[in-house]
Amino acid sequence: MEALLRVENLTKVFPRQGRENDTAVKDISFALLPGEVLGMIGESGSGKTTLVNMITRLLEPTAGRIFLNGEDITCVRGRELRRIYRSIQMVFQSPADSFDPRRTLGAGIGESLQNYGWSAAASKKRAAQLLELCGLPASFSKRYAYQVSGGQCQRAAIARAIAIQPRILILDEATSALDVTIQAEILALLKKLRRELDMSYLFICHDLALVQDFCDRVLVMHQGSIVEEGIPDEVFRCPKNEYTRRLIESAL
Amino acid sequence: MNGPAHRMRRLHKNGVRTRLTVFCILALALIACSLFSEHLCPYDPYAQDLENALAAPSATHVLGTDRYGRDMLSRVLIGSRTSIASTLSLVGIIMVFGTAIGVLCGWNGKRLDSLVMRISDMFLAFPGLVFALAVAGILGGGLHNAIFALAAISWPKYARIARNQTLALKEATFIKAARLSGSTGTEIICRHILPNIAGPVLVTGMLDIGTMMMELAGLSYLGLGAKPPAAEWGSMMSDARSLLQTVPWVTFAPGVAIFISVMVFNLFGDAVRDYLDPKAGER
Repeated sequence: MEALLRVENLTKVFPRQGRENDTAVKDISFALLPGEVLGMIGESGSGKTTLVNMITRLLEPTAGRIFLNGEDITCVRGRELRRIYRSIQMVFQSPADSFDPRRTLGAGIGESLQNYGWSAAASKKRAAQLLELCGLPASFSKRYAYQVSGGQCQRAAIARAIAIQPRILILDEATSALDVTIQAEILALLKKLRRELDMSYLFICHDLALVQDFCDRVLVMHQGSIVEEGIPDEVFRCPKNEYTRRLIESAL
Repeated sequence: MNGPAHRMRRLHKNGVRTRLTVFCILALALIACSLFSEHLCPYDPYAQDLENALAAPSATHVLGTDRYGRDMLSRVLIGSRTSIASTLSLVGIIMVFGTAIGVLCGWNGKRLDSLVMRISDMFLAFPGLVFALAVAGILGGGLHNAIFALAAISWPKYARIARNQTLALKEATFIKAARLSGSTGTEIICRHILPNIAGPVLVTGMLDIGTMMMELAGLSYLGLGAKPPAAEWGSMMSDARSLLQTVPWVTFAPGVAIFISVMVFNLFGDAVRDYLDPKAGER
């Protein structure tokens, strides 16, 4: 099956003055298949966020290539990026910070729609519909991020991410900042949206149980490299890598 | 939330709001004065009447007359146009220009940023008014040149503020989210950066109005600003300083005018800052 997103030998080195350079991501290759939920676990500092920032082109890779539907997007810049963001969207870890404090949630959700040619009125209406799809009342589009709870804000952030119907949704610790019951609600929402909108997820997380429950396949990252890959149940039952074993033990 | 601390904060907030309203009205009154000064003048501010020169304040000439017999009240009123209007336009210019440079530097970073920031370091290294004197001296007198000189030395402050705020915002999650929404750099600056840095820049501008008014009057006093016979408070004071001991009202009238305007604009700036300060309580 043709991969939706393929990453080949991606590397990111942060130059450090006077000290040894910091290699955050080391020669990583993997593929995301259509319709799949790919989990990615690893402790903080293992390079997960650096990796997705490179995939979403917020960060320039030092080496390696990124392919979207077979097209090399490693060097796409400026206005051309819109084409990529039509397919790839991301939900961030801290819900409260992911909306402009001076703009309403509706304006935040409508921003992408307007960038893709929707009129102001149409995108306003659509933003309200998207909020409802994500389990919030339409009236929330007039609220500001500081006026809603973390879970509600994350729902709004998901509404923004799915506004232009991407094929790939990257969830960068999207549930980590929420408490357990809200986490479960957000996961249920994500499962529902995936069924309805036919998306693939790249689900980044440090909670093993969550990954086991939610993902079709899992990558284990450690110090910038992928140390293990497989079906979550198998990986957790008989981990091949020493680090994975430690990670599972420390979770229990 | 009904504790004493909360009530104190609300009282404080009310005080700030009252102060803001009062000084806003006073500042607007001053601006209105300068706008309609032509209609408020009892006499032609430039009409000489040598027989009536240096007359003491009386019912006909409320603030007396100067050495050419010109009515002081009319001259102070018409002078407010020069002083207030040029100060406001000066602050407007440096606010827009400095912020634009600062945002561009902060957003683009790299070489442009280091270059412009070194230049602004150079400007900041000189004592302000001395540098303005030099610039105005080189350009020659005249109100426009004085405004230009003060603008040339004052923009780095705004560029600094705008740059630092932009640098901090650039890493914010909501800016990344805006990028992912497909917004280009220019769109992000207009939609997210500028509205978010407007507060601190505006407050700095408000607090600068008084200072700029003083400096502009200072340059005129030294003969580098408005030229006689144009009525301008600084040059009017300079004109009358040799008469200070015999006919003090000729110096006092423009002096008091400067004092009041600087005071009102400074207190207005303070009130705006306190009002926008989140620590002063709930909005």
